[in-house]
Amino acid sequence: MTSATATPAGRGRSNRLMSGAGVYAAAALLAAFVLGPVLWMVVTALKPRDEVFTSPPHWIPHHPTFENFGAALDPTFLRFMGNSLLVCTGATLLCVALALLASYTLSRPSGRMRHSVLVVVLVSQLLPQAVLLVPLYRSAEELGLLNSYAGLVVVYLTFTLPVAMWLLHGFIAAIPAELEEAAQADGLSSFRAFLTVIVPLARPGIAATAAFVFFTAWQDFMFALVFLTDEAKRTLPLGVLGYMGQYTVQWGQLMAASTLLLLPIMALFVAVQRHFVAGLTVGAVKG
Amino acid sequence: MLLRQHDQSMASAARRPGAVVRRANKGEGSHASRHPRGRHARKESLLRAACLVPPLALLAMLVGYPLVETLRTSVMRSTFIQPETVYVGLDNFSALLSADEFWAVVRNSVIWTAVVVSLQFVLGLAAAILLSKRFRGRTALRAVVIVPWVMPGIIAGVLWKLVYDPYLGPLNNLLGGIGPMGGNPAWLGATGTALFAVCVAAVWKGFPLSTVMYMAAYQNVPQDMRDAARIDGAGRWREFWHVTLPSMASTMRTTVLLTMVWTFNYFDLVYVMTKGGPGVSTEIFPTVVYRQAFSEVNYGVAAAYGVVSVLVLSVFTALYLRQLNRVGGLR
Amino acid sequence: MMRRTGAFALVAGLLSLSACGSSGASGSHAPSTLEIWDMQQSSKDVGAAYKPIVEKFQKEHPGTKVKVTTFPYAQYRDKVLVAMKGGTGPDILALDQIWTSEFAAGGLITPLDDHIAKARNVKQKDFFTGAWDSNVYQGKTWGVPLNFDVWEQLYYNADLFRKAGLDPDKPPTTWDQWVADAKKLHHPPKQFGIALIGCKDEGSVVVTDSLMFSNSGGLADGDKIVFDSPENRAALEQYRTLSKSAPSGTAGVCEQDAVGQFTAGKAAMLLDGSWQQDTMRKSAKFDWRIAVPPAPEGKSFVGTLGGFNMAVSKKAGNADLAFDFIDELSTPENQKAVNSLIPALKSAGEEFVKAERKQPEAVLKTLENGRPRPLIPVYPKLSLIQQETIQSILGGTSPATALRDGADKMANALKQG
Repeated sequence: MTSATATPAGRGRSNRLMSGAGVYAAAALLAAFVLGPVLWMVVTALKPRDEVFTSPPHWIPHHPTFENFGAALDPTFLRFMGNSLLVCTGATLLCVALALLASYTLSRPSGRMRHSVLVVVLVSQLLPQAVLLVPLYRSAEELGLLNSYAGLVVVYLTFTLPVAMWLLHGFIAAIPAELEEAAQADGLSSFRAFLTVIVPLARPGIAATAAFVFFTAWQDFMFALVFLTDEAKRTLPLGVLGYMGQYTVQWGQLMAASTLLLLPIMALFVAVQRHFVAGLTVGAVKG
Repeated sequence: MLLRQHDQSMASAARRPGAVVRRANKGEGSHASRHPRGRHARKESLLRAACLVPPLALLAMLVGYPLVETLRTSVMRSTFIQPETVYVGLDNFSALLSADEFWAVVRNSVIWTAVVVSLQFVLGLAAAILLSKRFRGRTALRAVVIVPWVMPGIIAGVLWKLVYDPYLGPLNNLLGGIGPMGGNPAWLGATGTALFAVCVAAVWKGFPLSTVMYMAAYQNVPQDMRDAARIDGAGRWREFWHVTLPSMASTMRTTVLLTMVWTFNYFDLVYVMTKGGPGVSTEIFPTVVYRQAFSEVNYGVAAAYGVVSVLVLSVFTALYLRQLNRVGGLR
Repeated sequence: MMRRTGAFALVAGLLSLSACGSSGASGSHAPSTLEIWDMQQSSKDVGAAYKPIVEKFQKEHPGTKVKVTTFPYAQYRDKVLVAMKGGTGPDILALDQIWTSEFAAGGLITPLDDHIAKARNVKQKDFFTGAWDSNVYQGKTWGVPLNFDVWEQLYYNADLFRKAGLDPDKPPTTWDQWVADAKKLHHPPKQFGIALIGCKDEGSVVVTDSLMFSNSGGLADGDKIVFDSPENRAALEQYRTLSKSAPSGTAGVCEQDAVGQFTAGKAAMLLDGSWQQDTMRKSAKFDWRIAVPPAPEGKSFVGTLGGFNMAVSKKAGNADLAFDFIDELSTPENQKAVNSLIPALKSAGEEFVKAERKQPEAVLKTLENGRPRPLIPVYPKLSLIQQETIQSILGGTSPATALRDGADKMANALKQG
C-alpha cells in the first residue's frame, strides 16, 4: 500500500521533469507573477494618502503607516467577514452534497443519458449574469428568499452547482469502475458501494470541488448586492467596495481592506490544501 | 472548519479501502442474496435516477426559468421608459446585427476567450507540476498561488489598473528599469494593447483554479503506472507524455471546458479596467449585455445579445467537445 | 459524440417544469415602515449621519420605523434597477440628476407637486436653480434636490507654472492661452501639460459638456438633438488639442487616474470638480490652486451640473409619510449632515462652500452659471453615444466626422425611446 504523502522520497526523484535550479527559477517566476500585483496592493495599503501616487512610484513607502489597516478593521468589517464565512460555508455544503448526488448517477457509464445531463448542466452556464439577475430576483422575491442568507446560498448554486457537477464528475470518472464493481460483486448495493468506496477515493476531488465552491462564492459581489439589502447582512466584498466613493477613492483603506479580505480565505486554503495532497488514493487500488 | 472535519472522517475510511469493502461485504452479503437480481437492479437504477432530481430541479428553477425569460424577452420590446412589453419578432436581433460594434464584439470575445483559456491551461498545468515538486518554499508558494483567484474581480480590476498606470504604476517603471522598453506605453489607453492587457489580468485572476484542479489530478496519477513506465525504461518526458498526461486527461478536459465557459462570460475585469474601451477594443459579450440591461435599460436588446452570446458560446463548446470526441470523448 | 436531441428534450422538459410561477410581486412594507436608499458618496459613513435625523423623525411619528441603507456608488444603479423592476425596493431613494426623468418616465417614482405645495421646509426658491430644475419633467416635479455641484474647476500646480516661466497668479482664461500654457508645461515623459479625463464613462461626458456649454453648444435643445454643431466641433477640437499635452492613453484615463497624475506632480493642470479639493489637501504636496476654467475669447465658462435628488417610489406604502421624511431632511442642518458634497439648499450650500472650499467665490460662481445635462428620459443612452464619440476622437477621428455619426445615433436613440 502506498504511503499517504504526496511526495514520498522515491517519487520526488523518479518523476522530475525539472531539476534543482530550474525548479527554483520557475518558482521565482511564478511567485513574481502571482505576487507582484498583490505586493503592490500591500505596499499601497501601507502608504499615507500623499504617497499613493508618486512619480516614480515608491517601491517601499517612505512613511509607512498602519493607519489604513486600523481604519479598515472596524467592527462592521468583522461582521461582514462573519457573514461571508457563513454564506460561503452554507453554499459549499449544499452545493457539494447536490453535486455528489448527481455524480452517483453520472458515475455509471450509461452513455447517452449522462452526456445529455452534462450538456444540460453546461448549457445552464452559458447565460451571462446580467440577464439572469432580474428573473432570479423575481423568483427569490416570490419564495421569500430576498435579503436572507439562505436566499444567497441558493442563488449561489446558479454558478457553483453546474461547475461542481462537472468537476466532481471529472474526478469520479477517473476512478477505475472495477472498484465499485468489485464492491458490488461482494454484495454491496451500488449506492453503498458508491458511498463507501468511490466517495472516499474521490476525496481530493471532493476537497478541490468544495474549495472551488467556497472560493467562488467568497468573491461574489453582484449577487450579494442584488439579493441582500440590510447592511448587517452584507458580505465582505460589498463592504470593501464601500471605500470607492462617487468621486473619491480611499486608496489606502481600500487596499488595506482588500488585503484583510484575503487573510481568512488564505488561512482556510492552507488548512484545506493539505487534503489535496493527503492521499494517493487511486494508488491504493493495488492495496 | 467543516471542510476539515468532513475530510478527516473520509480520510480514515480511505486509508484502507480494501478493509472497507471487506467490512461492508459482511453486512450486506446475505441481504443481496435474498432478492432476485432483476428487481434489485431495477430498484437501483430508479435510485440512481432519483439522485439526479434535486440538482436538476434546482438548476431548472435557477437557470432554466431565466433562460426561458431571456428567450421570451429577446422577441419583445421592453425598455425602461416603455415598460409595457410588445412583441416585435426578430427586430431586436436585426438591430443588434446591424450595430457597428457587433462584429467587433464577436471578434473580441473570441480572442479574449481563446487567449485567456489557453494561457490559463498552460500556466495552470505548469504551476501544478511545479508545485508538486519538492523545493524550499513550496508550502508557502502553494498557499499564495491561490490569492488572485479568491480576490473579488472588481478589486482585482482596480489593482491591475494601478499596476498598468503608464507613469505612476509599477509595471512600466519596472520595465523601464530592466529592459529596453522605450516610452511609457498606456496599456489600457491604446486600442492596440488594451485587450491583451486585460487578458493578462484575466489569466492572473483565473489560472490558480486550473492549478488547484491539476494539482489534485496530478496527485491522482497512479504511482504504480509511473513505476511501471520507469521500469520499462521510459524517460521523464515519455513518462509524462504517456502516463501522467493521459491520467489527468479527464480533469483537464473538464477544467478547460469550464474555464472556457467562464472566461467567455467573465465581466468584472473588463468592466473595471476599460469599460469596453478605448473605442470598442475591449467590448465583449458580457459587457455589452450589461450595458444594455443596466445603462441603456433596453431589456429586449439585452436579451437578444444574451441569446446570441449563448449561441456563440455554444459554437465554441460544441467545437471543443467535437475535438475531444476525436481523442476519446468526455469520459 | 453525444446525442444532442436527447439533451434538448431534457432541457425542454426541465424548462416546462420551471415555467410555473412568476406572477405579480407584492413586496410592500407595513405602511408605517419607511425604507430609504442612498449611495455612499465618499465614505461608508453616510448611514451613520442619518441616525439623529431618523431618531427625531421616529419620535415625531410614533409607530413609524425608518431604515436607511446605503450602497457602494458604482453598483447603486444596478441595485435600484433590479429591485424596483422586480416590484420591491425602497420608499425613498436618492437618484442621480440624469436618472430622474428616466425613472419618472418609466413610472417608478411619484410626482411630488401636491406634497411640495404643503411642505414645511421644501420651497423651490431655497434651492439652487440648477439642482431644482433637474427634477422637473413634463411639467411635474419628481424629486427634491439633495446635493449639487458643477464639473469643473481648473486645478493647477503653481510650482510647475513657476518653473515653466508662467505667472502662477495668472492661470489661463481663454482657450488659446490654455493651449499655449499647456504646451509650455509639457515635457514628456517627465511632465505633462494637463491631465484630461477621457475614458469610457460619464466623466468624459461632463468634461466635454462643459467645453461645449462654454462655447454656447450642447447636446440637445429641449427634445431636439443639436450635437453636430460648429460650436461643438470647436469645443471637441479644443479637447483634442489639449489631449496632445496630456499623458498618452487619455482614452483610458478615468477621473481617479487623472487625479493621480495631478497629485503625483506629473501633470500641471487638471479639470475636475470642487470635491477633489479634499483629495488635494491630503494628497498634493505642492502649491496647488484652483481657477475658473478658461472659456473661448469673449465668452465665459459654463460648467456641467451634477448631483443627487430624493424621490419617492411609486410602490411606497405611504407617500405622505415618505415625503414628510424628505421634508424633514430638507433643512440646512440636515442637508449638511448627510452630504459630503455641496448641499442643494442655497443657504446650506453657500455655508458649506465657504467652510470647506478654497476660493469659495469661484466655486459659487460656477455653481450659478452651470448648465444641466439634457433632462430627457433617454439621456443615459445619449451619454453612451457621447462617450463613443469622445473615444473615437481620441482615437484619431476628426471631430466633424465623429459628431456627425454621434448626432445620427442620438437622433435614432431619441426616436426609439
